[in-house]
Amino acid sequence: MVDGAKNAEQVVMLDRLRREIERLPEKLRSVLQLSLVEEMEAADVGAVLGIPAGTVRSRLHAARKLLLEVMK
Amino acid sequence: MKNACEKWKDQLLEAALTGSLTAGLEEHLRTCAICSEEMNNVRARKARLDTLLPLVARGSEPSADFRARVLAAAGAAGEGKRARPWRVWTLAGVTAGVVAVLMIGVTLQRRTARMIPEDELAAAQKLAEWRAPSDGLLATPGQEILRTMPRLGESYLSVPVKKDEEE
Repeated sequence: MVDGAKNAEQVVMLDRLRREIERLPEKLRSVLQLSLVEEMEAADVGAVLGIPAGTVRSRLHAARKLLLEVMK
Repeated sequence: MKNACEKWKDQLLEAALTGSLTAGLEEHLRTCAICSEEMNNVRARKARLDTLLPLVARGSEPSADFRARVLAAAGAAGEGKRARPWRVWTLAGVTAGVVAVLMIGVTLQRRTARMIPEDELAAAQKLAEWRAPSDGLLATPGQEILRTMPRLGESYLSVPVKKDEEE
């Protein structure tokens, strides 16, 4: 029962997180999606998007920070 | 969170993400119970986010539209800018592989073509050495007759006599 409630809560949180990711600015979302879904390193993400690896890391950090702020 | 503590909000998030506190924030947290509690909340949220983000990745592939947009953006950004090293190296590797396979194939084919079976080689040699039986007849008595016979318009007198006949 406890596990079931925990799972249900996780499903709700996941759904919310997905929606929050969709709301992220395009620049942050694309970096986050390539890093998470494609599991690409910062250098590879940078190569695909034509931006330096340092910019990829800072955008990833900004994306996480925004998500941390909104996921209350 | 009190209005006075709003200025610490960003630092709380940074502290949770990086795992390190600035000296100023550390000092403030010692004296502010609200911010201290908020710090704990943010840390818990960060732990939850770290758990959920991989799950989001596992459960969702980027849409075809997103992929198309990323590739289009990459193509546009790549023009006139630096090349995409990992793609260039992948293409170079694949090309080198194809060339190597082709070269090995051509070499093997040539070697195979050069290797003629022994029986075929022996047959070809025999054919090259073969002479017609009449060749022998022409080489010996035939030549002698032609040598002793006068040519057209010549007399038997002008035909050289064989030395052994003279003796």
